[in-house]
Amino acid sequence: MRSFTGKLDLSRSRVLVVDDLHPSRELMLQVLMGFRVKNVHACTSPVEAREQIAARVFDLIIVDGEMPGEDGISLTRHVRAEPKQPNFTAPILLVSSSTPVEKVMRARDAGANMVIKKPIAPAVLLARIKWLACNDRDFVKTDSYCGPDRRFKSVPMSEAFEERRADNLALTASPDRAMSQDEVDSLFG
Amino acid sequence: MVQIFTPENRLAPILGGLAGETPNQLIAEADARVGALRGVIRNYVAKGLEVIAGYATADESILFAESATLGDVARGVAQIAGAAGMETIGEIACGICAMIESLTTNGVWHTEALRVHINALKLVNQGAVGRDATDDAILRRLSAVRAAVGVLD
Repeated sequence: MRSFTGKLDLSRSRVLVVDDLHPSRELMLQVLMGFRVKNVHACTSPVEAREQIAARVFDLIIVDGEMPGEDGISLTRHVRAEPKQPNFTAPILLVSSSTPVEKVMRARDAGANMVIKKPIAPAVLLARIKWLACNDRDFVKTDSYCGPDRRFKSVPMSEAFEERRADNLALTASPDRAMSQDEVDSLFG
Repeated sequence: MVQIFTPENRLAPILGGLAGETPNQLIAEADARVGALRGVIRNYVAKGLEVIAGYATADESILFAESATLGDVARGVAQIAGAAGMETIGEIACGICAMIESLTTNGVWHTEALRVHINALKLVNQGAVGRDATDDAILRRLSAVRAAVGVLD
């Protein structure tokens, strides 16, 4: 993991935003402009996004999880299914107003790097982008899965912290319960 | 065959750039831009709530037939209401989405439970912006209603 203490320069980042809902898309664009991102492509549908994904290189893809027809999870699966495309390993953030365990697991198994609850809070989004920049996460390609390594690293915890495995097990044991952002993050390692 | 590799981290160069800003500066700028959108968001939510409220007295057959439309409008409200300080409205709209989605994914349909949600939305919309203990109680009860009729959040 890279260490970081100072400034962030997102001005040259190339970001793709896919969201069918205009106010939600506008909200995301304004947040990214606030982060000084100058190169943002906005798409209103997965069909439009597929064209952009095949034609351009993006440093980050932010996709809505709840579009009618093809949703963000399906689009994520499409990105991860094409090793020759320029965005095969690009980080994908899935944003969704509902975050039940079952949906978060589906997003993770489709190859999403993270799930963020809507409406987007700028502090949360920036923290997740920073995390992606700091961590060189391995990528796994098998016949049944392509995406960031889903395995947790078994690093012994400091004595100052309690073991959280029991908490994680309790979380995943109840797939019908909506999750908080912290709980969602805990499933992504 | 399993392949494990470390892809190029395209976001790494954003760290430590001399030309950049501190995270707090970036967040403050983004928050200000979100704040400037509040009026637009509130107008959008108000229109959505008007459409949803129209279904409060609709017959079961109409509710059922137009459930996709109701779900789309509720989804729009759920995705942005919280950004304009209307968290409770967003959460109730999210509950309506879950009820409509339950129809398509699990075949669960309960007209009265849906009406309770629509009326709760009308009630909360008459109150102040923000979230208080009453709102929390309403959200807990609605969650219990959904669980009782077999709707998974």
